[in-house]
Amino acid sequence: MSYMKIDGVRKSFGRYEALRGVDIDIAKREFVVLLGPSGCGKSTLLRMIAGLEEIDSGDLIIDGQRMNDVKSANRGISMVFQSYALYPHKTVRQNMEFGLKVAGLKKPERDVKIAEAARILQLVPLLDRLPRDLSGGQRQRVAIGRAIVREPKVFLFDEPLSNLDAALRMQMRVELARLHRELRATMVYVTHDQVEAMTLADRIVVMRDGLIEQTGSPLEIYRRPVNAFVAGFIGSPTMNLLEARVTAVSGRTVRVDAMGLTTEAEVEGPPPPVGARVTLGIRPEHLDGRTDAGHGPALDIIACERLGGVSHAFTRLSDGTELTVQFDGEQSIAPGDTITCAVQPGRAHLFSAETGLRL
Amino acid sequence: MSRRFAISRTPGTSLHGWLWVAPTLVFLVVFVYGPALANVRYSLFSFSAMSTSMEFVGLANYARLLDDPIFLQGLANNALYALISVIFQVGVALTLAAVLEARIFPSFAANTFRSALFLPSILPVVVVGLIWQLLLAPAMGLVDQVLWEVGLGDWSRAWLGDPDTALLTVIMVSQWQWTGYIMALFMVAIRAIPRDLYEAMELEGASGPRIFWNLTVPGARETILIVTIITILGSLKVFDIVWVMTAGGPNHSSEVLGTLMYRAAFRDDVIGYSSTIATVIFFIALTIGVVQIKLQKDR
Repeated sequence: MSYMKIDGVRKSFGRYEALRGVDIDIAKREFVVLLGPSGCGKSTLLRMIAGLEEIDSGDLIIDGQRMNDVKSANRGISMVFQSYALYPHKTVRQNMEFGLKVAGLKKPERDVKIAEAARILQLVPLLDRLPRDLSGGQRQRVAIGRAIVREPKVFLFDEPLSNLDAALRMQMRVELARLHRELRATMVYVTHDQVEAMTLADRIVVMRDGLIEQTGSPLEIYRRPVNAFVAGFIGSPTMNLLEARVTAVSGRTVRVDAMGLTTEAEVEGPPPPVGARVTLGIRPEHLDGRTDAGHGPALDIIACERLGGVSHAFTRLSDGTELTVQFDGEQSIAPGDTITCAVQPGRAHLFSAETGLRL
Repeated sequence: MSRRFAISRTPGTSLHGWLWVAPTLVFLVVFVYGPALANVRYSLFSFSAMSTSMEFVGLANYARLLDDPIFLQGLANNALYALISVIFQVGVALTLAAVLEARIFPSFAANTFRSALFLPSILPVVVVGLIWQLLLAPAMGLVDQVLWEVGLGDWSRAWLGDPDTALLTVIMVSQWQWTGYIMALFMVAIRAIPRDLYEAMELEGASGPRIFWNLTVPGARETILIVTIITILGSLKVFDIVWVMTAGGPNHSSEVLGTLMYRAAFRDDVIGYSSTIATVIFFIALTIGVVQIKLQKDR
């Protein structure tokens, strides 16, 4: 049962079409992440849900009520901004209290709500501080606290972690996931960081150029991207997308070759004919790299990323095609080395070379 | 850090620094601080601009000043000038700026309104004074004619010739000229307040006035403080518009310290007394300046 429905929503700024017809159904208590590169329209969509941008056409329905013409404050939403948007001259307590005051709540009620939010977010010792006296993570928690106290129907997050350093971002991701479980709230979260999307979302909506490319659970999108764009956008390091040629077809099993890298993949639709050009997608973690010869095509390592548990080798095939291969962190590899690799069985993805759609 | 250390510790570098500021320093000493100090000294003498002799009278000029009802009237007029100016050039200008920045009006209307309000500030004060003299002329002036046309003929009067209205009229003309200018300054200050904060308040359901008091005013606090000080100082030093429109009359009703000082120096030829008025203005302005610096440091 849809709790929030975005139906055929469009938005233009002058001649530029930021959103070109977006449909999303969001269930109650679902954590939906809008993911996409800069300029894909995800923040515009979030601002339209918030009522900060007008909806040119289409419908926004929250809890059964059409919200297109309802004022922001009456939509039952709270938003956490990328910049935190804390009122700089108000203390943490006053920041959280402001919306409640506007809503006409009496002081005892306000105090109860603030105390509860402060407890959940561990803000109790900070209540009388000004935002300038807080760290980035603390400010973020205050911004979330300000959203929580209003007990909205839907929480909106606009890239809330992008101003934090890597360690804090990871910590806040865990906090947000815990918060979602604890509050059992409906959340819509915008990010361009696919790690955030994968770790937080119940469902990811991948967007590009004002359109939805794919909607699904994180693992569904990771395991079965509907096109080469989604395949390349989800996963870190990004999926290797190679030009390949079909060498054999047997039922729905298609054998392809990309500069000596051969593999088989199952296709869902009609298989391409032998000799057809396709795009072969293989994630770095699905390539078995070896330092000995004869295991597959030769690859020259041009750079290495050692992350401890795993290492990423950025390599080049003889025709100049670049390929990223993941190794165990213990494996000894270095730029200048030559390696070979093979695709793990059943891990390859095939996309149309013309349309980019999954075959 | 090491650079600062080098500058403060090396005599040669220090001298070099002094040489850079010397031209400005010399200019200030010769044309600002020197004359200001000389003025304080002149206030202790009685003398004429036509004579080379100066008679030391100590604080007699100051005693005379305190007994001078016209000086006290001028001082009160300056205070009223400052009060009304602060109301308009801080209160009204800030409100107008907030309204225009709130994107209530279409951008064309807002731009037109802003330009119309700003325009008077680019006119010379003398021109403004003369224009308004014509507009306010009894019976013939546009203001009176409009009043008659709209059935408010009873309100018609010699705005600049009536002691009850002369000062207020001059003050209002001054507000007409400068409110739009100050409004433009406030618009810049408001634009510096992050848009997200306004959106956050909007999402929380705050009304326009609530947003104004809870965000715009604290956000533009620094500019409000500076503009208030500038407005008070300007009101204290006001001379030109009053001189052009009423010359302090009728019957000293619109007299301000500036016109009093000018008249004492260039009509009555009592330079010592005029310097005393100038010294009083100087010290009041200095006190306000110190308060401003203190308030800014406290922030």
